[in-house]
This record gives sequence, C-alpha cells and structure tokens, in this order.
Amino acid sequence: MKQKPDEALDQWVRQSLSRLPDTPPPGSSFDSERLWQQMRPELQVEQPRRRARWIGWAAAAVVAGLVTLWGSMHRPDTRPVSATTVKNEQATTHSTIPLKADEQLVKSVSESEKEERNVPKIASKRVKAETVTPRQQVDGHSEVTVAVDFPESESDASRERGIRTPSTLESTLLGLDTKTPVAQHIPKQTKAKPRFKVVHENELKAEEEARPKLYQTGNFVRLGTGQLHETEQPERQPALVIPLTNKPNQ
Amino acid sequence: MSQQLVEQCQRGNAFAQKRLYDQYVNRLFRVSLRYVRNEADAEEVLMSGFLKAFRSIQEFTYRDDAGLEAWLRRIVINEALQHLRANRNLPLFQAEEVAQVQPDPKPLQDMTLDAERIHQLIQELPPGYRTVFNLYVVEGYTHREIGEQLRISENTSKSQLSKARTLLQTWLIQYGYEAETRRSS
Repeated sequence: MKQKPDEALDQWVRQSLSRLPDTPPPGSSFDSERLWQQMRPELQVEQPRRRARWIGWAAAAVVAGLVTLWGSMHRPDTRPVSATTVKNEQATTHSTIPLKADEQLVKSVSESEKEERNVPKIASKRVKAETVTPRQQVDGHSEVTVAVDFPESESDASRERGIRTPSTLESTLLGLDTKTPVAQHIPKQTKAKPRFKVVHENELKAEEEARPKLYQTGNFVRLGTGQLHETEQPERQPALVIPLTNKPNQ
Repeated sequence: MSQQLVEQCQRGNAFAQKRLYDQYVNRLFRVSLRYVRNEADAEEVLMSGFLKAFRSIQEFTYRDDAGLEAWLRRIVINEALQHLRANRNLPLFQAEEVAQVQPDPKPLQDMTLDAERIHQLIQELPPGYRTVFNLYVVEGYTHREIGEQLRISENTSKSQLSKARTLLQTWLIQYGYEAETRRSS
C-alpha cells in the first residue's frame, strides 16, 4: 500500500521532531531555573492551603465532638423522681412551713408522730395547689424544731433559687416571715440525703422518759423503828440540789 | 523511578517536584513554543501548565513514563490553547493571505540538525495553520477533536491542515529539503 504524500510529510516531520535534543532551542534565552524560582512561591502557597484544609476539618471535628459531649452532659434529667428525692423535698418543704412561735407545744408523742405522718401529705398538697395559703394549711400545727442539712455543693444554687438556709429558717420559725409561698422554696431536685431527722422536741422528751433509769427511787425499805422524838435542828442547812435531768437548760 | 517521583509529588514533596520539573521542562518548553511563538508567552504557558500539573497530580495514576509525559504534554497544550484563545491570537488564515506569509528563519550557522530546522519552520507558520498542524500531525488529534478544541468545524480544520502542509512543503523545498521529504515517502 502506497503512502500518500501528505502522510509522508507528516511522518517525516514527526520523526524529525522526535530527534530534538532535550534542551531549549538554540538561541533561546529560556532559563528553567529562573522559571522554577518564579513557580516555587506559588507551589509553597498550595501546601499550607492543603494543610490548612486538614486543620480546618480537624478543628471542626473537635468542635462537633465537644458540642456533642456538652449536650450529653447537660441534657435535662428526665428520670422519674426517686423516693429519696421526694422525701428530701418534703423535708425541705416541712422546714419552710410557717409556724407561730407562740402556739402551744404538742404534749403527747402520739400527736407529734401523727403530725409527722401528715406533713408529707400537706407538703405535697401545697406543691400542687399554690393558691392556698400556708397558714391555713398548717392550722393546728405546733412549733417544731427543725434541723435541715443543705448540701454544700448546692448552697449557691439554693441561694439563687430562693431556698432558705438554716439561718433564715430560724427567723422563719420565730414568726418573722410567714407569708412566703412554700412552692418557691421547694427545690426541683434534691439528691443529697439529710443528715438529721426532723424530730419533735416532745418526742425527745418521751424518749428520755422511756429510757430505763440507773437507780430506782420507789422501792426503799425503812429499817428499824426510828426515834420517837426527832431532834430539832437548830438551823436549816442549804440542801444540795441535784437536778434529775442532765440537760443544762432545765 | 518516575513512579516514585510521582508518588512523592502526590505527597507534596518539593524536592520531587523539582526533579520532575527538571526532567520535563525543556521538552515541554519546546511544545509550548510550537503553539505560542513568543518565548515569554511560552514560559507563561509552561509555568501555568506545571502549576496545574502539580495541583492535579493527586488524580494522576502512573502507568509508565510515556503516559506521564503524555499527561504533562496534554496539560501544556491545553494551557497554550487557552492562552491563544484568551489573547484572541487564533485567527484562521484565508488562502489569499498565505501567499504573503514568508518564513523568517534564524541564521543557519548553528542549525545543523534537520529537526531544529523543521521545528523552526513550524514555528514560522501562521497561528491558525500552526495550531491545527501541531494538533493533527504532531499530537495525533483527529479533526473532530481539533474542531472541539478550537471551536471550529471539522472541514475548517481539514482545510487549515491542508494549507499548512502546502506552505510548509513550499518552505522546505526553498531550504533544500525536497529530496529529503520525497525520500521518506
């Protein structure tokens, strides 16, 4: 098969060009090093850009992770309120019950126990029905001694929420502030257990009385007939009085 | 060897980039110079071609050295065509104008090799002829591909090639290459 003249020329040109040396054309002022120096800054800009892209992605991932972590840590607690929490709330509510300082003390232990049994009901009712005044609800209550422990970690939060600390409780018990609605003072979640029980003073007295005594005064036996005429004592000496109770204020 | 070079370039190794540049810069400069006659323009085309190559080398899959050279060459040619289009330096010559075009060869005392002479004469062709001739004869593009690249019809590409051949053959005969071309045919 005979080649066309055009194709022969094309082939000859291709062969000639393939024999060209790997150098710039003769007489050319081309300097490859100069061109590389011009290119290098632009190439160096590319690398930090690529690195910055990676850094950007890494930073975004870290931020997303932190946000997720924060979200999981600060998620509102939707668990049902445990019995302990309810008890604590009731105790706190009980501590803020406005009481009259001049009301009579309840004398029997059974009454105080009855009150204790009734207090949670009253407190829970108050939480639900805010329109009823606390004074009306605690009618018939006697003065109670209250000792409530507030956890230290929650003290600041409690202050912010308006929860009364023991110092303010004292003033409340003295009748200085009796109109504050109870519902405001109920913390939403109280996880810490109170260290002390709320006990009525009469209950403590009853316990003391019920405690067995070290000596018995009722079973003395008199020995002998004794003298018929008792000698009169010229002067009555002051008798040593030993209180039966060991409490300093009685 | 070139494979390792390509892999290093893909990792952004500046030393490997320099070695790859040194390996192909002169060859690609000649390619660029065949399309844009001006040396300054050819350098500009070469520089933007290398930058594009280093930026897109991540997408290149090395098979052999010929494939790597063809890939680099294609990038430089595309840059050259873009340069010609941007500068509106790609008029397609009419037949009447061809007669007035005369080659302006450089002094021949150093041009002892035929290849250099052929290269010089191709550079002297008018831009339209030169582009079509380079794409068809040297690079092996089809008229359809040339038409798509230059946004001209296939027939226009064919006619431009025919005119380029005629002109080049005339010049070769003038410079005493008639016997050489006939011998090869």
